[in-house]
Amino acid sequence: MTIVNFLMLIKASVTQQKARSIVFVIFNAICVICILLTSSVVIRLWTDMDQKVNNHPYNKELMVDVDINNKGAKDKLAAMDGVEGISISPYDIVLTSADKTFNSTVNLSYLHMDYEPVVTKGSQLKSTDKDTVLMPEIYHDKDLQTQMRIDVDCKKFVGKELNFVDENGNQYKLKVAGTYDVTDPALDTQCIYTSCDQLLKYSEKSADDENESITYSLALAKGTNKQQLIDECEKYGGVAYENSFRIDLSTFNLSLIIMVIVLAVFLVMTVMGTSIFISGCIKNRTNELALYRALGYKTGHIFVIIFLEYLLLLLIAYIIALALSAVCAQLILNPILASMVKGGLITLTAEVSPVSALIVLGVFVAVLAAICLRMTNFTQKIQLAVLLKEK
Amino acid sequence: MNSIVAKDLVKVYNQKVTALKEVSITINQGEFIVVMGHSGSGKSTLLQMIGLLDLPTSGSIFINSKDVSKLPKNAIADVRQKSLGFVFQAFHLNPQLKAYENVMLPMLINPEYKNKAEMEKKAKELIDVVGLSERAEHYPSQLSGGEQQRVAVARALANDPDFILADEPTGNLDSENEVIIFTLLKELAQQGKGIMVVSHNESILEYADRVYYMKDGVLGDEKR
Ligand SMILES: Nc1ncnc2c1ncn2[C@@H]1O[C@H](COP(=O)(O)OP(=O)(O)OP(=O)(O)O)[C@@H](O)[C@H]1O
Ligand SMILES: [Mg+2]
Repeated sequence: MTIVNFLMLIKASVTQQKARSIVFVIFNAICVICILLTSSVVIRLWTDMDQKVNNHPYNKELMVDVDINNKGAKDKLAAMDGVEGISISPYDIVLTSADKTFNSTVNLSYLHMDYEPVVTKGSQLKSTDKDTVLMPEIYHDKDLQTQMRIDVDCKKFVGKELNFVDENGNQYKLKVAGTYDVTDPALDTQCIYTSCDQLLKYSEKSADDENESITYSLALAKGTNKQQLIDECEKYGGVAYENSFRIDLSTFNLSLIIMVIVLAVFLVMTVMGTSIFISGCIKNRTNELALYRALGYKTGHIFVIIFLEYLLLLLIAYIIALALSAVCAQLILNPILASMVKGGLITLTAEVSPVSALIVLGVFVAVLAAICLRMTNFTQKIQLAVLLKEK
Repeated sequence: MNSIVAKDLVKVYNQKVTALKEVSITINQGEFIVVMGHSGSGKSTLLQMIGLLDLPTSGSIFINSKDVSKLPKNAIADVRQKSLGFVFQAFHLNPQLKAYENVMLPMLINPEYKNKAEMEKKAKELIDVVGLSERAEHYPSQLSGGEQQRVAVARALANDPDFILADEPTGNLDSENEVIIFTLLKELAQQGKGIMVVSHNESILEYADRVYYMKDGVLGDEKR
């Protein structure tokens, strides 16, 4: 009831301070956009990164070298706590181009079937595909005479067949399914990848009899203590180590910290700006507010009048900001993010989720309420004697 | 009949300036009381104390036999809203509100009004009372000083208070408008409001039921 009545006063105050009100809306809209966008990136980094990095097949994997004569080791390793699966890890094969496509040698490695790299052209590897590979988007080849680097654009090989030979003279006809994004930190840009099964078959064919050990790859359950398992493997005669393509979370943590700092700066900017702004406006309205008090308006009434006015302006700013931040994210921020963390592990995009939008609104309203409460206390200290002064 | 009784009011500013020295005064409903005196004699200070706009250093104020000078802030605000109306030299009208909307200001927090339409009706009636029916929809900038002060008087009447306190209400007005304002206040006193006007304008004397002269914070004897 009373709140509706006050709308009249709020309208009067906003028209009286039109320019200030517009500045307030613009300032708040900018603050909301900044905070919405940074917080959406922070949330992304916080939740996605941790999950994606820790669930990454290379990070959940432990490699164990076992002597070829140690027959019982495989069962013992498989029975360890935290081991979800065990498979023989095939050796990479060094290939030479038979059709002179590349001058230098190429490593043929295998790709986890539950890991799908970003494919820039063509299609993903399927476990059913035979003699099929993924190639890097750009391969760094060398001119053997001058040792100069030659970048080979591998997109042109997609769908084609390339011929290679290994050190033992075995022939390989490999069909290129697609090219992968070379910025993926889990992939070696000088490798071409095939499926694990395929590589196992190849390595049996190409293996020299001198091999004295087998490498197993252990798939670990989430949250398993790797160091403990490494120690345990030793008891069964295995030498365990982490996959060299394991992704280091700390680089992402650094970006997370930076983004949190940026977010904090925006928050401080919002609180300080709003506070300075509102206190300026209120000091300008000393007589008006003193009159309200003389007329019998209580502390609560004054708070509602002040808070409601800035709340309405904030809501206008918020709606504008919501629309603009969607546009900003699409047109400005996402292209920048995309160029910074191109492909690979995650696609980092700023997207304002309804939940974070609501949280940001809540934060702004809370900050505003706190500032208005402080200003209400200030109005209680106004000497009502100001009303008796001549103009 | 209701009254404001001020007893032994002392006001010391900044622990140095004694603006009121044990001032006692009674304002009854239906009376037109004038306080006169030189500049700096303490007239406005007395009005502030009686109007509960500021607290006395010592002494008490009884409104309708209730000591209100020691109430908490919000309770004092309540007393101001229910029992007191103010008229100031500087009018203090909101420039963005029409005349009748300015009169509605005190009604907005009065729970006796059920809705806005009721307030509007009452505000326009009060605008009629001060003789500005034609000007209800005008903004203060479109009104003369005298008309603005009449709107302020209507605003002081908004919650039907028992008392109206006015500090130099005609200080910014010419003699013609002075007469209009004083006549208006006199009529209100005759209708039962207790009126106290602080002024150094001699022409008010013919309207007064009682006149007090203030000097250096001391209220002199009453004169009729
Ligand atoms: N807030 C204040 N702080 C300090 N001294 C004050 C304050 N208000 C008033 N005074 C002093 O108290 C005395 C009485 O002031 P007051 O305003 O009541 O006088 P007045 O009779 O209303 O004068 P005028 O006719 O000029 O309005 C003056 O000496 C004034 O300087
Ligand atoms: Mg004065």
